[in-house]
This record gives sequence, structure tokens and C-alpha cells, in this order.
Amino acid sequence: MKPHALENASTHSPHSLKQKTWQFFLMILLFFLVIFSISYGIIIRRVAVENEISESEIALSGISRNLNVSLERYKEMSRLIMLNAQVVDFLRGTGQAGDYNPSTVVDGIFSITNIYNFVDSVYIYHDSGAYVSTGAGVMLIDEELMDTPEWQMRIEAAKGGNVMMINGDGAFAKKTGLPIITMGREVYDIDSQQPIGSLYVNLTPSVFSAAARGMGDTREICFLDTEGNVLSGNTDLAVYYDPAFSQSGFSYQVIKSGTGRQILSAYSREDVPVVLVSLSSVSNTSAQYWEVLWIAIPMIVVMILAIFASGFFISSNIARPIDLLTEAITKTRVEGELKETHLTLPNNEIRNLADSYNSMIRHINRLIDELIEKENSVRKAEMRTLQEQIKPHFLYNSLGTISYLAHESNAPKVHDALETLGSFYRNFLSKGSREIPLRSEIMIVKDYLTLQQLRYGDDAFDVEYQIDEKVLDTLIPKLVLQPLVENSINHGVRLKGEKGIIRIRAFEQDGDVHVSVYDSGVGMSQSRIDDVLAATHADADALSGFGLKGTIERIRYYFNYKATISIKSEMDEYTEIEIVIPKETRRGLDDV
Amino acid sequence: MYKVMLIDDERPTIMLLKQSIDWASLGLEVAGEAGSGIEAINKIDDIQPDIAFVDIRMPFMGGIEFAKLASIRNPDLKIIILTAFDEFEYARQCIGLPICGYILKPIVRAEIYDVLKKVVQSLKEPSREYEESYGSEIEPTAIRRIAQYIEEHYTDSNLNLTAIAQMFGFNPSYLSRRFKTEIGQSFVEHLTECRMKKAMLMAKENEKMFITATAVGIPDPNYFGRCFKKHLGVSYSEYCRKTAVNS
Repeated sequence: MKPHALENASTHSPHSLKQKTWQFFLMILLFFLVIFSISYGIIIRRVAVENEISESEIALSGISRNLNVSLERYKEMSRLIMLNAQVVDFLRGTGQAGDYNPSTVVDGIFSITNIYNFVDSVYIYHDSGAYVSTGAGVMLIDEELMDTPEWQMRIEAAKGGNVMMINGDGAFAKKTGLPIITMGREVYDIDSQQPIGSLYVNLTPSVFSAAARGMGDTREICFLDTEGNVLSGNTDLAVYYDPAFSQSGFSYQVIKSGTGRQILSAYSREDVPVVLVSLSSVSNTSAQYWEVLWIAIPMIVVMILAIFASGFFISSNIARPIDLLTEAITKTRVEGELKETHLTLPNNEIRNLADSYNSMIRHINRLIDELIEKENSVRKAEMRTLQEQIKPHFLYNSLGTISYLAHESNAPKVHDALETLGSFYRNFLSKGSREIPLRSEIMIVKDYLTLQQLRYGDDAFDVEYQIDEKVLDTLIPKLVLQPLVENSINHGVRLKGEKGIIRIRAFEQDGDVHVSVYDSGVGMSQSRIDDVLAATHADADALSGFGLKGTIERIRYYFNYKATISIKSEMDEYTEIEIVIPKETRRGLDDV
Repeated sequence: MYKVMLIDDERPTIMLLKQSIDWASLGLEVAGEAGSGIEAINKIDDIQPDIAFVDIRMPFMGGIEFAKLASIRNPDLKIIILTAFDEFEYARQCIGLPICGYILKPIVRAEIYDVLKKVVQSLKEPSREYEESYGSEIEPTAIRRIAQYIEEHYTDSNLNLTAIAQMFGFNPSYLSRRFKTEIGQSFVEHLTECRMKKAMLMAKENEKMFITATAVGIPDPNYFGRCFKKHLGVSYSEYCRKTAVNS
């Protein structure tokens, strides 16, 4: 493995997640701002248009009302004319020339109209067709039209009320072509209540301008008749006329032009055949703009803060822990040592990732350990094979040869000793098997004790065997009794300095196999006993050792910790170590 | 007295067995010994032992092979295996052979006494009734033919009484007896004489002993050496020197 290569690979783009997160959030922010501006513009414009429309409606309806008020005043005026004595006399008369003095009638009319503005002319018709008129300029009168029943019906149908007409619906026309507003009515006799004539008051269009001025509004207004002819005001607006405007009420159109939006609004009343048209541009510097913005700006600020906060949150909760984890993993790999990481991570998916990584590391380590162990055991097996096959063969043949030499030289004791040694080694090394029958182990012990007696002399110790043949086939781990006996000699009887007894017992009780080694040695202290019995399999070299502790642990391990081992001792008197192999864990040769 | 034959390539083992065991007390005597399976198979007809101690690992012919051949020759032979290799593989090869005991090396006398007591006991039991089939009557011409065959094929190391008997369809014991009466020397003596004649010729050529040994059908040079000396009274190397001087 090349750590450098790994390092390069991992530093390729170490912070792209963090960068991407931020880029993403900035894009969202930008997108939001664009959307906001567009919708803000649309809303603001719509509001401004609606505002303008309602302002136009208010203005136009105000002007219209104003106009109405002034028209009421002219109705008032026409009533005063009707009641004028000269006018009444004229109408009650025959109407024949000479029967009346037109100039006195005109005077009478003037006395009233004098105080009113915008009165163009007044015509009073006698039933007979004679009329008296005031006014300047040439007036073209279509008398034929006025004689038609349709014309007369309209006036009569009003039953003395005023009928508003533009240019008297064709009956009157100024020679100058200027339009006039005609208010016509039938005149009744006060006493008889019979119609005695008709009265036509013609007003100049300035009456509209006056009404408009009265409102104090500066907007451009054009007054049109129902056919679209300009009566007064801005004549430029006439082009916008639409017959639909004459339907009573308020109507508008939004006109888009190069400079912006304009509102074309129109207003008409049922009782007045006049259409008010106005064109006003939509103001872009409305105060509402700022009102909306004052609400929107804090919202945008809050939004930006929220985006930054969530960006920071993601960075600190995801990107940063992943960075830490990557760093730890890279470090592990670069160091070449498969170690678990111990990072403090939030309890979430990243911790799961770290946990998975750790468990993977554990698994790999376990596999490596297994491999090493396997390798070790293979090596051990090889070693054992060498030991078993080379050394013993040579040893055995040599022992045989030396035995013969001893026999030849008439040294039977040497021969005996060599024979015992040969037998001991044969059992001691037996095939390298881990478990042997109790019989073989006792053979080992016998040979061992015979050799030890040769070594220390006959008066070192006596050996007693109390062996029950029935238990000799029980399988036990190899070399468990011999170390106990060795312990009895070296730490028991030898330390006492006087002739001791070593007693090996093996018997059956309730199906359990009891094996014990007794020595009349110096005994063991309770603390030593406790220490020896406290050996555990965690004791690394306990299993491999052939000391007392190791032997005890091997017995326990072999019988799955079901065999009991007890040590009885009295200081300066004796020690007895007993192994009890329970019935259920007991196995013989036949069970193998 | 039952006859015991000791077969082991380790001379001290044979000597130790011979001297440290009180054979007479068991009603036994050591009637012969051999240093290899080949030597043993050649001698066995002359010695006719009841019990054979055989080492498993020997050069040229191991104990297992010897046991196979010997048990054909004499089904009543009690074979005791001597081995330092108490391994399963050997035990498996012994299945079906008349092995009546194993002695593990190094030898422990007590174990040998235990095994021998059992074997002697089984020898004392009336042996199974064999239908002694002598095969067909052996004509003198057949014996001559066999002698001729030996003279032509003595270089084959696998040539022995049992093999010849099987080949010609005779009972080995009967053949052995008839051979001696007809030819005047035993089968083995005749075979050895043929081989030694050839060996003398090769010795004159100053051929190396182990090459001669293989060439005449005794691949065990130790046994060949003993045979040569027994037959001619001088060792192979001495004979070579003498003939070289003469010429």
C-alpha cells in the first residue's frame, strides 16, 4: 500500500460538499430575489392601475354630479321664466302679431337669465307657432322637425319636465357650429293646467368646463354627446370615444403606450346625454410602493438570515462531521494501522457511518487475527511435526543402543533407568496428541517418579498408587498429572527434608472420576491456594504454561470449566490436589 | 521350544532383545536373525520360525512387505511389529495381516513379556486344521525346470520360494522338500549359489559391491556382503583385491 497515493486521492476535492451547499443556497437566494422583484413589480403596477381607476371614477362621478347640480339650477331658471308675467301674457294671448310685444317678453326673459352664466339663448313657443327668443348669433331652427309628432311626443311625455338634448336633437344649430345643450319643456297654464306652449333653454358647452373646474381637478376631460361629438374640454380625447361609453355608469380601459400605462375612463348618466371621457397616466411614484417595500425588506432580510443559518447548520452538522470522519479514516490508512475512530459525532447517519466503519475495521482486524492465528498454528504444527518425527526417532534409537551397551557391560541398573527414561519419553511425546487416556498419564507419572527416585535416592519419598482399573480409559488432557506430581516433589516433600509420601489416587464415585495427588510435604498457604485457583483463561500464558496455575487452567479449559479442582492443605502437614471430572463430561477412548 | 526370529536393521536392538529377555522361561529360543526384509525372506525357509519380531522401517524391504510375503509362506507365523512410529498410517497397512502385537521402541521389557505370554498362549492352542493341499505331484522334471528357471532369473530380487511355488502352482513347503531331495541343496542355497557365481565374475571385473549386489538380485548390500563371505569365506573387497593380484 502506498499511503501517498491514498492521500492524493482523498485531497482531490475535500470541501466540495460544503461549497456546493453554499452555492446551492446562494442560488436559491438569487432565485427568490428575482421572483420577489417580478411579483413585487406586478403587484405594485396592478395596485397603481386600480388606484388610478378608482381615482378616475371618483373624479368623473364628482364632475357629473357637479354638472347635475348646475343643470338643476337651469331648471330652476326655466321655471322662473315660465312664471314671468310678460312670458305668461304672451303665452296666454293669441300669439297673433300685435297681440304682444316681443321686446317686453325678451326683457322679461333677460331679467331672469341675466343672473345666469352660459345661457346661449331662450326660445318660447306659443301653441300657435309664434315664438320669442333671446340670444346672440345666428340660430338655425328646423321648424319642420319640431312640428313632427315624434318631436312633440318627447316633450309632452315629460309632462312639464325638462328634456335634455344636444342641439335640440337637431332642431337648433348655431351657425358657428358650436354645440349647444338644449333643455326643452312644455309650459302649462297655471290656472287651467293646460299646455299653452313650450320653452327651450340653450346653454353653451362652457357649462361643463365650469362643472369640471368646480372640482378643482387638473385632469384632462372631454365632454361628448352620445354620438361622440365634442361638446367641451380637450378635443384630443374625442378619438377614444366608444359608443359603449354612453351606457350609463363608469367604464374604463387600460391603454399601453410608449411612456407607460394610461387609464381611459368614461362616465355617463341616464338623464344627461353627455359622456365624460378622461385620460390619465398611471403614476409610478406611488407612496404604496414604499409601504409594500417597508414590509418586504425585513422579510427579505429574515429570509437571507434563515438561509445563512441553515447553510451554517448543514455545514456544521453534515459537512464538518464528514470532514472529521474522512480525516480520521485517512489518518488510519496513512498510518497503516487499522484503528477504530473515536470521534464525538452527533447521533445521526454520520455516526452510523462511523459505526459501520468501526465495525468494518473490527471485522478486518478479526480476520487478520484469525489469519495470524492460523499461520501461527500452522507453524506450531510444523514445529511439532519436526519434534515428533526427528527428535524422538533419534532419541529412541540412541536409547536402544545405549541400553544394549549397558546390558553388555553388565550394568542392569543403567539398563533399567534407560528403559524407564525411554518409556517416559514415549508416553510423554505420544504422537503429539492433546488428550490421552488416564492410563497413559499414570504411566508417565510412574516413570517420572521412578526416575526422580533414582535422582534423589530411595529415602527421599515413597510412592503409593491407589488406582481403580475402571477409570483408566477416561480421557484427560496430556500432562496434567505429571506437573501436579512435580509440584508435590519440588514444592512439597523436597522442602521438608525428611522422607515423604506421594500418593496417586484414581477412583470412581457416583459416576464421577476422581483423580488426586497427595503429598506429605510442607503444605500450601491459603493465599497461595486462592491465587492458584483464581487462574483464568484470560491469563495469557496460563494455557501454555505447565506450572500449577497453567495446569489447572488447562484442565478447566479441556472440560469446558465443568471439572472441579480443589486443593486441601495443612501447613507443614500435607497438600492434596483433587480433580473431579463429572459424569457428563467424562469421555473414554471409545467416545473419540 | 518355539522358534523366534528377530528382524531389525539395528544390530543393538536385536542384541538387546536376544540378551535381555529370558526366552527359555517362556519356552522360546531365538533361532535366527536378519538385518533386512530381504535377508529375512531368504532365511525364513531354513529357519522356519513360529514367531517373528519385525521392525517396520527397514531399507530395501520394510516390515509390512515382509509380513505380507511371510504370511503367504506360513499362515501360522506370529508376527510382532517393532516400531518407533506408533502412527495410524502403519496400523492401517497392517490390517488383514496376521499381526499379533506391537512393541513400541524404545523397548520396555515388561511390555515384551506381556505380548509374548499372549502369543505363546495362542501357539499352544490347537492350530486350525489346514487342508494341507500339496497341489499336484511334483515330477523331477518340474524340479529341473524350476532349477533352470532360477538359473535364468536369479537377478530378479523378487524371486523366492513362495513366488516360484505360486508361479508353478505348487505348495511352497512341499516344493521346498522335493527341491532338496531332487537337487541336493535347498531352494535358497541353489538361488544363492547362482547369484554368488555371477557375483564372483563381477568381483573379478572389480565392480563396486553395491552394484554387484543389485545386479545379482540382492539389493541389500549388507545382506549381500554376509552371503558372499559365508559362501566364499572371504569378504567381497578382499576377493576383489586377491583376484586383482592374481591377474
